Amino acid sequence: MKLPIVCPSCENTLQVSQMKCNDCQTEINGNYNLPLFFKLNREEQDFILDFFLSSGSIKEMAKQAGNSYPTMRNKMDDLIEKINQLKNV
Amino acid sequence: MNWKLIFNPFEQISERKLMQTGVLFALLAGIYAYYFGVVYDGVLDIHLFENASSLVLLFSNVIIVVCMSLVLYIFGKYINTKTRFIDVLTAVLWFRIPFYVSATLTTLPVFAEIEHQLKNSKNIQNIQFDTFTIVLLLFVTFVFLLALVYAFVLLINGFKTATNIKKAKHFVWFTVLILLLEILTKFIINTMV
Repeated sequence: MKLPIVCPSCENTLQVSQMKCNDCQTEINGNYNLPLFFKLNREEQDFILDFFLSSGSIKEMAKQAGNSYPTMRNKMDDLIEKINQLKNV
Repeated sequence: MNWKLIFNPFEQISERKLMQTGVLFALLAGIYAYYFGVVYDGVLDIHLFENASSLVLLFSNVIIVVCMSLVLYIFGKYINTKTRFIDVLTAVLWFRIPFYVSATLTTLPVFAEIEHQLKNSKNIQNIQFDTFTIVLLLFVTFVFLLALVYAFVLLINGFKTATNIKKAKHFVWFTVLILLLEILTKFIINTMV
């Protein structure tokens, strides 16, 4: 199931308010910020994961995705810029 | 049909394949230019010269590719330090391909016939062309325009992929540089002819 990260009503970033242990049914309520990684959309999360799994090789990622090297590097640069913006919020 | 591949091959095809295709077309264009007297006398120009030297016929296109690649690479490096020369070079090599098609059409015998009529006619208003010539002229003009538009689509997409430019001011500078390159290459090649 896809984790919603943006409020469908006002489009602000959602926060975690409840967590539950599936084993003992303990529930924790609070107001926790989403980790930075989860503030990215699914495609961006997959991109970072693919980068990690290809040992940090953009060339290898490009080959697997059927894209050219500069296209992949541009995606990476755009993502770095987005993460830097999220860090500064 | 994969339109993305036609209008932006730089997104999916590796730089090596793009480079090989671009160089192959440039070589064929050079040989064709040498035998048919075609001179690429500017980034946007193709002309037939009767007395051009072999050097100009063979290398006018190479001069354009080298000048464009160097200038656009320096500009690309200024915008984005990660810009690679090979990506700019492939964009330029592919930008040239539609011009080779136009150059081939320029050498059609019908143009020589029209030129002959224009040279020998004292009054331009008295020149008359048959229907076939007019239709052919319109068709070739249409292909020229299409080729020019397609060439710029390739160049812009190639340069965008190479540099990741997004800002409007960079596109303005890019346009200015193309115009300056037209003047520069025209000057260099015309002094050689």
